[in-house]
Amino acid sequence: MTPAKTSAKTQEPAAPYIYTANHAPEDSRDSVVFVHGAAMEHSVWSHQSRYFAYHGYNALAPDLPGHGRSGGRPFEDIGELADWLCGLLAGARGRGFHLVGHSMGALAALETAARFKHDRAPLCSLTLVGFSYPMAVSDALFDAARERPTEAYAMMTQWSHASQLGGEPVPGFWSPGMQFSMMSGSHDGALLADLRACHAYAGGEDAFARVSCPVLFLCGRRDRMAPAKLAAAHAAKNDNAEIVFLEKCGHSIMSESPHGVLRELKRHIGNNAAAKN
Amino acid sequence: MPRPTKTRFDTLALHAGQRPDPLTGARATPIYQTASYVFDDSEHAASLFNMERPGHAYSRLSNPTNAVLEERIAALEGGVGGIATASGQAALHLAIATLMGAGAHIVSSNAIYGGSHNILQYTLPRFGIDTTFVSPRDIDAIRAAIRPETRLIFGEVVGNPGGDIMNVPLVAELAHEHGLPLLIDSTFTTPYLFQPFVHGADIIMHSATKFLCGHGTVIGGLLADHGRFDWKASGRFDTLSAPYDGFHGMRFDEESTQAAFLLRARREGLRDFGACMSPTTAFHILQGMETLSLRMRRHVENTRAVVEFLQKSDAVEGISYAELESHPDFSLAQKLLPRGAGAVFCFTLRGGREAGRAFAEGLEVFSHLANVGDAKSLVIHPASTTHYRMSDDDLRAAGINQGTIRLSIGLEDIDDILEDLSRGIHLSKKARA
Repeated sequence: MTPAKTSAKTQEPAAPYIYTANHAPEDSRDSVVFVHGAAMEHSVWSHQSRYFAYHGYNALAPDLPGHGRSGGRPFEDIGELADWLCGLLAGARGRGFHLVGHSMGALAALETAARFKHDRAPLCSLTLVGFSYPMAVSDALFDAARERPTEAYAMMTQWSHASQLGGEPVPGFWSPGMQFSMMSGSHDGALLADLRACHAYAGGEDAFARVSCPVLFLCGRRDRMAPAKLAAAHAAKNDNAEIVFLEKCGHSIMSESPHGVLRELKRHIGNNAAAKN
Repeated sequence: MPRPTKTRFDTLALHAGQRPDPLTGARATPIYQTASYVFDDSEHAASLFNMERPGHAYSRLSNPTNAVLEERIAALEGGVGGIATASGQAALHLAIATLMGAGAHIVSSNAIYGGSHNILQYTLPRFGIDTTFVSPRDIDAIRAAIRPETRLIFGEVVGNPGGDIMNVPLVAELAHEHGLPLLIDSTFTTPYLFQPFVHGADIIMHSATKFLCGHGTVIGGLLADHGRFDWKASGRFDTLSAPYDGFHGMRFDEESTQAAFLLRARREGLRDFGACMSPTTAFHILQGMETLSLRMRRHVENTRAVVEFLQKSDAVEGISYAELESHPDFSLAQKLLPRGAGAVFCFTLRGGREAGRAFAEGLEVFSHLANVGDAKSLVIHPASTTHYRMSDDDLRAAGINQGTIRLSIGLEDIDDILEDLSRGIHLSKKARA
């Protein structure tokens, strides 16, 4: 027996793990699907997903294949990841779906929204958090992820926070430590696969053209991983999109501004609930 | 080793967890001396209590001043978070109560603080939790003591009072081979001298009363969690992996893979046992931590001078300090504690109980009391005070002789410290005669 999370996770079955905050999804509710980023897992959304589960929605926060408690291999292609998410939506309960993605998860959510076929329940909204397109990855980060993953986790953690000193409004937790620990516990090779998927994704323009639901871009003003100006350029081109900047936030926006992210998700998702369509 | 922040230790000690107060601009951490917090509305209240959003509801659970301290110890230790408690003892109890219940078992170093020994040896068995004590130097004995119902391995980096050094990397490896977490009491070393997470520990506890506060003004404890132990994979920790009826069937390790231990400790342990820290206490500890590295450097520098002085005295029978080649853990200390083996150590005076008593009572700069880790130098003679009722055999078993003296070296001018010790030694010789 070992405490190493990676080793333990390789023993997990291939079936995906989906966090629902202990609520069985119901057909009569809208489903909010939270998609995590590179080398992350469902609990990166813990300050938002639980709220929705207790306020009239189905909350579904999967561990993507090869991440967290889900077995399988991580996808190296955003299109494959989107197909997997489309399959998840096809099997999920709910009268309408709201996709919320962060970073790599935002690319996947965008592509999923573009590919999603409405046969049973519509896609009601899309929220792209910490989004940029293209999402180019530097050679230095690729090298680290390949050869020295712990160094890559540290680099990404440092770049993801607007402040290195903490002081976020989550009592008792140190956000850089949380992110570093989460990434350090990721499956072997997950980060490298995720970075390859982000770097190679070239379908953003086409995907935006095919998305018909309202889109919210939620950006940290000081995001160095996914600069807000890139999201702003896409928001400006899309009549059905709005952009919100959260001040003093970097890329780890869900922990740096948990209240701000929750407030904007409540507003955007609430305004676009299936019952209103 | 890669770290989650580029910010260095001294800067984190001053700033981690705190930003200037957004309402007033106050630079120092405000003392939020309040029991409770006004809700926006009922929905806001319900969502706070149900962990749907972060925030403060009642100061037994969390407090803004305490939160700065909790984040700061996490940053200095390199963990995911922390919890402030009413005392170091409360921190130890909270850690144990979070991880196990009746029927569980702990393997503990036998070179630990007397208060920790008391709760493990005498109090917890009444609640169905047993402990096997073993030498921290005997890895085979630690392995042999592990049972199917064992849930924790516990020890101090620098043991009290003998200065035994625990081989934390080795014990951590053993613990993890058995799917067990290692809890380290790092009170004597602080994160400046030793960082247990770097060496494999899973949870750290501090009596923050000591060097972290550093001025002998308040009682407080801290826990920090590394966030790496896989509670689910271990299969031994239902308190973290199984649905908890006391919180709507929550599985804590599902809610937060990294911080399951801290979540349950706060949401059950602080809620139900209630041994929380006062925000004024948190403020005092934060003040102390701002100068931690400066003080620890001086503590160690003065201690080394005192040890050198005592080595030259014909009144001294022996010194137990791990930086001396004569200490059994000298090599290990050189490896694990390059910045110093701390500022608390014991030595033995010739002349037994009367010499020891005369020495302790004759000092002026040193204060004769039962504490360590103060800015002021402290002394105690266990055989005539804390261990007064023990027989010679029991004293020996506790690693104490009639002439054993425990010193906690403070920050005074070293010449004044040495002059004071000279006076004490003179008086001890007179008592011998």
